[in-house]
This record gives sequence, structure tokens and C-alpha cells, in this order.
Amino acid sequence: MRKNLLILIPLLFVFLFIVHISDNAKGSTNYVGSETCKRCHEEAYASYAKSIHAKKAISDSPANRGGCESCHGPGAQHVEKGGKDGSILGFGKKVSGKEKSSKCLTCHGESKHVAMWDASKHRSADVSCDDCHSVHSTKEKNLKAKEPELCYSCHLDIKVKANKQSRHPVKEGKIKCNDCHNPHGAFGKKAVKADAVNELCYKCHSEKRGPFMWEHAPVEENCLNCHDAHGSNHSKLLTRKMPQLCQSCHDFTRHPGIPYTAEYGFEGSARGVLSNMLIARSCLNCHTNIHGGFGVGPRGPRFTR
Amino acid sequence: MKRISIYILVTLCSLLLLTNGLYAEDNKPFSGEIKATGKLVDIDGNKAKFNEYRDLKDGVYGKIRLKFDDDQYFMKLNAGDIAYDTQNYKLEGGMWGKYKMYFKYNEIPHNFTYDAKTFFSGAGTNRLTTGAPFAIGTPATFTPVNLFDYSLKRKQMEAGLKLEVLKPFYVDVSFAREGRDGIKPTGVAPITSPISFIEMPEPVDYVTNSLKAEVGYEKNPLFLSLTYFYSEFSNDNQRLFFRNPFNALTFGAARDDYLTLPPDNKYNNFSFRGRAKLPLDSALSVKLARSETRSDYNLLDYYIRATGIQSVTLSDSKFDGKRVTANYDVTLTSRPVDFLGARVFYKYYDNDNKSDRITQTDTLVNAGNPFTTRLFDYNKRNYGAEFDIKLPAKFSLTPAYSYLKTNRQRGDLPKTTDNTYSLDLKWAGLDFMTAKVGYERLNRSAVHQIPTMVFFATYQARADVVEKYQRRFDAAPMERDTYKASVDIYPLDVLSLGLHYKNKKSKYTDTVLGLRDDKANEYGIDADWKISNFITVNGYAEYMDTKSSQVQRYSTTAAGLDPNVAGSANNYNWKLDQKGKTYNYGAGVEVNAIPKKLTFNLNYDHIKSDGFSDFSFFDFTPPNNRDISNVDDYRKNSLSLKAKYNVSKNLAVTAGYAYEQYKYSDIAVDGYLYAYLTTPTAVSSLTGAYSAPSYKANIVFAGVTYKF
Repeated sequence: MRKNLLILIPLLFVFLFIVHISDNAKGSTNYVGSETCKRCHEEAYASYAKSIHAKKAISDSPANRGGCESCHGPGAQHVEKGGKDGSILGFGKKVSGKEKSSKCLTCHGESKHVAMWDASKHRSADVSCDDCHSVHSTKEKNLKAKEPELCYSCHLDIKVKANKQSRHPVKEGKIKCNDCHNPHGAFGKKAVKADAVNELCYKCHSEKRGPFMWEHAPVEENCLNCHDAHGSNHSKLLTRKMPQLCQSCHDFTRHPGIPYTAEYGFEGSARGVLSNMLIARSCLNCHTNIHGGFGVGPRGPRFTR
Repeated sequence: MKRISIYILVTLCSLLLLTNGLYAEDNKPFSGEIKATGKLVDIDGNKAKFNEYRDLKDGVYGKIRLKFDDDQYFMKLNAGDIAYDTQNYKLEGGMWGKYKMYFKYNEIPHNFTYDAKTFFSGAGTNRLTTGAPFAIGTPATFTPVNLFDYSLKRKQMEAGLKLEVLKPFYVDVSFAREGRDGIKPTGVAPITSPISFIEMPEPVDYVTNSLKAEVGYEKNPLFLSLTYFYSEFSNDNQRLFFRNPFNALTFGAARDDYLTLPPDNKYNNFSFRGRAKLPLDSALSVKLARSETRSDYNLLDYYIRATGIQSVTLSDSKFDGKRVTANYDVTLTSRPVDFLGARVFYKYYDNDNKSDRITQTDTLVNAGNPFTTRLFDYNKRNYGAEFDIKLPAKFSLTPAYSYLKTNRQRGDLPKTTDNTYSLDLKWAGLDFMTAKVGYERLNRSAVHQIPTMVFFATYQARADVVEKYQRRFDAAPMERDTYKASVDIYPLDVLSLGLHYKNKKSKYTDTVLGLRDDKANEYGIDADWKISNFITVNGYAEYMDTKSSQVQRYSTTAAGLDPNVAGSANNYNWKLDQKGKTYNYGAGVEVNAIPKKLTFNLNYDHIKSDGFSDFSFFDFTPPNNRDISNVDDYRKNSLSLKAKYNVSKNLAVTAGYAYEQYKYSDIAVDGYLYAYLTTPTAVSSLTGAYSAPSYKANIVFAGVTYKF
């Protein structure tokens, strides 16, 4: 099956290449030129002139394709109607995302950065390029705002998670949403930039990559079984509080089955002595190599060495 | 690095400032910005938590941006937090549309706890020593006290080249190196019985080198790409040796106790990505990838017990780890008519563990019979479809279905099957409003079996009882419903308002012991309003509540593990409801007091978390005061006020004040002790990691920015 796939897919691409008939856009005679636009839209033109889109050195930039009208469309009717709304593509909120994006994709559709745009969740949610990028901007990647604020403007729930006490350094700008997710689309769920969640996490947490002699199955399968990468109220971005997180899988005689109630805290003196299971780093006080280890004897399978 | 960085930057600045004068104002290819901000920081409380990912202290913070940009070439230099632990630099340059080169340097601190305490000498190294064994039974023996900081720092460097000159072909090559060093907390149980533990400093001295090379072709209708990624991780410390204070044998004897640390590893990934544009607004996308991870580790054939050094016979003294993954993705998207779009996908991911299986013989394990490590691997097969249907009256409907089958080499739940159905409805019938509702249903079924206790065969009788009822939540059969609704209102170009709600309920249908229910609600609102050219306001508020319920069995005997057996003091079922509430809100105001001259910014954020553990005991009634009322309870307030005055086109001054307060309370650290009796005879020792994280901080800052 896999070998067949490896042969079939390249053949399919060759076939598609041969059968594809490109339908280039027809020319139009209704263009008025950027100088005409500049007369009324001086500020917008000035910002465009400073942007990467005005670079003639880039062969397929708007500067080599008709300037303002390469994105906004032919301007003759707009001029005739004295700039009336709807007489030209204005990239406002009333225009559908698909229509706006199609203009950008005329030039950028071939770029590797948007190769998966057709399959992206943003596209199916009618998010358009200009929701995040400004054609007239001179900022990094023409973004309208810096990450993560730009992403938070739609993903408020993620902003709240990132404000929680256990989190990645997103607020400090040391990690960006774009480091893990591809907003232009990717093959995996949530547009993550890897074939599997763990392969993504290991890019920064390479010490967790192993392979280890003793492995903890849910750890190897998916980091998100125990961690919430966007932030958590619990330490180490854990989805739930220890030791109960561990106990929901490990119930047995001796300590895995004990209810670690308030009396097991530092100040819970009901038993006269303290327990190791609830305080400080909880289960990790002893089972420190929970991500994998090389202990011998009974220390290995219990992840205590 | 710091000193060299400053010299380079100062030289570049001077050069560019001088050169800048050679060009006319309106058409200058050089531009830049130099900013210096003085800060006074007063912290009352935990300095490490305040500076968890930052380096805020009294001093002058520099920021430089330089840019050269003409019709052919460009060069940019950004430098921030110069000479601080968060310093970052990026230099990039190239020829428009032809090539681009870049170099980046970045530092990320991660501070956990300052002035942690240990009785060990050698914190930060891989050998911890202490003068004499403990006199069992008294915490007073934890002397001397040595101070150290739990803190990590990442130093990241990356250089890369992107070539577009051969368009439609392109080449991207980059090399990255990350060094990570510092100390993080770890812990060990130094003896098996009676139970005690020692928290101690683990040295971190990692280096990760990575190389990425991509060549591709991007010209409609095709996009093709081949990518190679190689990453090599090395750890200077394969083991942390420590003198076991409970075992006099390790004092003066040949061997120390030890903790194994992460192994060196090498990872490579080779992938092909392709996309072909098809007729009828369709596209076929494919990804094929293969990765391999290797590690090797020299094993030691002993471990330390309370009564001596225990030898273990190993089938091989060296472990060779190898994990191979294969990934196949195929996605077909199509929009043959304007009112119908579709996405059909297939994904297969195989994670194959080809590591050595090591056989061990230990007289104290498995009745002295050999036991062999198990290898965990798995594969996932996922396919599904999503449709985008435009309906009359500006309604659109998105039904979707996904099937996921997972096979894993695991004793209890080797197979799971997920069927996920979802339906989203969107209405954009008004020019000023968009409304969405959505529903998703996940049905997970699983094959369950009672695992074989390979390493501790004597526990098989207990497993035979409890595993009938235990289901582990990561693979347990479940039903999950997710409801969501949102409304976006934008009556004016300068005003927008968003409301959203989400409800998620998971029910673990076959679980008797383990996590049985999980619920979460989210309510949110956010708004932006540019009231006039003088004032812009924004705000948001979000409330989340969560509740998870688990049922467990406490028992001291195999037979007592059966949850159907009537409860007694030594055998009983108990239930825990963990509840959490999170409130987060914030607001900001920007006032342009004098347009283009004087601006004020005021921002406030508040987050509060309130957790509660509600215990119930069945058929047995222990004391009633056992609920935990402070489970990761915290509140954080942040306030900042900033004024910016543009003295001239080139010069601006800023000044401001910020206040931050963080207050934390949790059962795990309240009343924290560094040393205590675990049982009447066993002593445990802590270092202070993560304890007392609360703080208050006042920051006053003033700065000047010069643009040219």
C-alpha cells in the first residue's frame, strides 16, 4: 500500500501538470494608472510607495502589474462615479473574505507560504488575507498588529489561557503563535507545523525526544494528554492538578489509590507526620523521570531514576 | 557576547548616522531608531516568579533599529534589551526578489526560584556530595545550607539563506544552535521504605544543533518541495550522581547513587510536499515524510538500596534507541460551484519503536526471574470530509466528519476508534453582524484488556481485579459534546464587539475507576471603539469554569480493590470533583491629548483563578474537613500608564509607571517546610522550588527615542 502510494502520487502530479489548462486573466482597458489614484488617496499612495509592494526589483510585484489597480481592480468606473462606494474593490468588511483573498492570491497563490491555503481552517471560516495583513504596511510581514495580539483579536480564549500563571513566554514575545501554527494552513489538526504534536514539541524540548529505555505510553503518544500548550492554572501547563491527574490513570494498592486530601498538605497535621504525595512537586517528588529514563531494577519502570 | 554585541551595534549606529546625512530627507534609503529606556524596579516578594521569562531590573534598556532600503537592496538590524538576559538581535539583508540572508540571536531566561537551599555541595554539577550520612529521625541534620538559583537560560542562534533568484525554484537553508544551561529541580526517593524524598538541583547543560534545507518549485499549477531537517541534541550530563544521605555505604564506598538524565539524540526528517491546482477551483495536496530518532545510553548495572548496593544483570550494557515515523497526508479541496466547497483528507501516521529491548535480572524484582523492557509504538489512520455550503439569506453551513483509528502497543487499551461529527452554521445577513453556532460530537470506542504485569508479576492478582474497572482517560471510551456560539457586531468601522460562548462535556462511558466526567464552560466578550480621533478604548472579559470528576478505590489488598466490595476503613471508594473558575478581564485607553504630539496609554489586566477539590467517601466516613479549598488559587493585577511626547519629527520622550501584583495560594506549598518527618523515622528534604511565588512590583520608566 505504502509503496504503491509512493509511485502513484508523483505520477498523479505529472498527469495533473499535463492536463491543467491555465486560464490567465484577460486584460482590461479600464485602468487609469496609479498617478490618478494618488490625486485623491495621497496618504494611501504614500504608504503603498514605501511598502514592499512598490518594489520594482521584485518581478511580479504590484509595481510591475499596474500599481494600485493590480489589487483594487480597474479604476475608470470609480473615477467616473466620483469615488462612490462599491465602484471599486475597497477591501472593507462588506466584501467577502474569499473575494478579497483571491486578489492577493493572484500574485501570492504560487508561494510556498500559502500552498495549503485551500485546505486551511481560516479559509473555510472566510478569513481574508487583509484581516491580518495590510497591503500598505511597512511592518514585518505586513502584519496589521504584532503577534500574539493579532491572533488574540479572534482567539480570545487562547489569550486568556496565555494569561494564566503557567504558560509559555508568548507575552514576552519569545515564542510566537506562528512558531507552532501555520495560519495559512497545514496538513495536521489545528494547523500545527509538524506531522504529530510530539514532533512539534520536541523542536524546543529536544531532551524529551528519547528514545528512552523506559517509556511512559501516554507521554510518547501525545504531550497534550497531560499538558495544555496555551497555558494552565496548574504548574507545568498541566491540564489538571497533581496528584489527581496521575491518579486518574494509576489506581492500585499503596499510594496510587489514597485520597490526598487537605490533611496531606504541610499544614495538615492530622496524621502527625507529613506525606510526600501532595506537597511540593507531588508525584514528581519521587517519580521524577516521568518523560522516560534509564533506571535499572525496579527504579526504571517506576520512573524514579 | 554582550560586550562584542555592544561594540558592533555602536559602530553600526555611528556609521549609519553619519551616512544618513548624505541623503536628501525625502528619499533616504537609510532610516532607523535608537531608543534608551531607564527603569527603576522595586520588587517585594518572589523575584524569580516576577522575572520568570524576563530580566527587569534597575538599569538602562537599549533598542536599536536600523534599515537600509533602496530599489535593489535591503538590510535591517534590530536589537533589543541589549546586554540583558533577554537580549535579542536580528540582522537581515539581501536583494529584493533575489535572495535574503539573516542572522538571529536571542536569549530566553526561565527563572523558577532564587536562593533555593540544599545540604548538598556541587549544585549545578552532576555530582552532589555531602559530608556525612543523616542521623535518621531529625530534620536538624540538614546542614550546611548551600544557596543556588533554579533558573534556565536558552541562547539561540540562527543563520539562514533564502534564494529566489532561480524563480520558480527556491532554496531555503538555515542552521540553528541552541544552548540551554542552568539548574532545574528534581527529586528522588533515596530509599524505598520508609518513604522519604530529597529534592535536589539537576544540572542542565544542553546543546541542540539543527540544520534545515528546503528546495522547491512554486509555479501554478504546481507547488513541490523537498525538505530535510536534522537536529542533534547533546547533554553534558548523562547522570546526576549524588551521595545518598540515608545510606552510609555510599560514604567512603566506591559508588554514589544516581539519577539518569536525558540521552544524546539525533533526529532527522525528510519530507516531500506537493500541491497541484486542478480544474473546478480544486487542489490536491500531498505530504510524505519519514523521520528517524536515535539515542544511545550506557547503562550502569547497579542501584543503591537502604541496605546496600544491588547488582543487576543486563543483557546489554548499552541501550540503542531508534524510533522511526512515517507520515502520509493527502488532501483534496474543491469548490466546483460558488455555493459548495469540500475538503476530503486522509492521514496515516506510524510511530515505530525499533529500540533495543534490554533484559534485566534482579534478585529483588519479578522473583529473580529475567524481565525485558517493552517497546511502545503506535499508528493512527485518520480520514474525513468537510463541506462548505452556501445557503440563501447569507447562511452557510459546514458539516464535517472525521474517523480516527489508533493502534498502540499498550497492555490496557490497544485500540481506539474516534468518530467525530460536527455542524457549524454561520449567518452574515446583516452588513454589521456575523453570527455563528456550532456543535461537535465525538464518540470514542476502545478495545480493552487486562494488562500483564511484566516487571512485577507478583502484582498480577491486584491488576486482575482493578484493571476490570480502570480506564485511562487518554484512550478510554468516551462521548464528548461541544457547543459553541459567537456573535461579531461591527456597526461602525470604528466600533466592533464580539461575544462568544463554548460548552464542552466529556463523559467516559466505560470508566468505573478513573476520570469519569469533564466539563468546561467559557463566556467571553471583547470590544474595540475608536470614539474619536482623540480617544480609543478596548476591553475584554472572559469567564471559564471547569469541573472534572474521578472515582478511585483505596485498598490495601488485592481483593479489596474491587469497587463493588463494601467499604471499610481499609477498602473504600472515593470521589473527587475538581472545580476551577477563572476570571480574566482587561481594558485599555489611548488618549491623543495633542494629536501627533502627546499620547497617553492606560492598560489594566486582572486574572483570578479559584480552585476547589471536593472529596466524597463512599461506605466509609473519614473526618469531614478534608476538602481542599485552595487549589492553584491566584490573582494577578497588572496596571501600566505610559505617556509619549513627540518633541520633534525625530525625537520622542516617554515616561510611565507599571504595577504588577501576583498572589498565589495552594495546598502543596502553604506552610512550606524545607525539612520534615515523613514518618516517625524518615526525613524528607526540600529546596524551596516553586514555593512562595507571590510578589508585588512597582516599575517607573522613562525613555528617549531618536528616529532618523
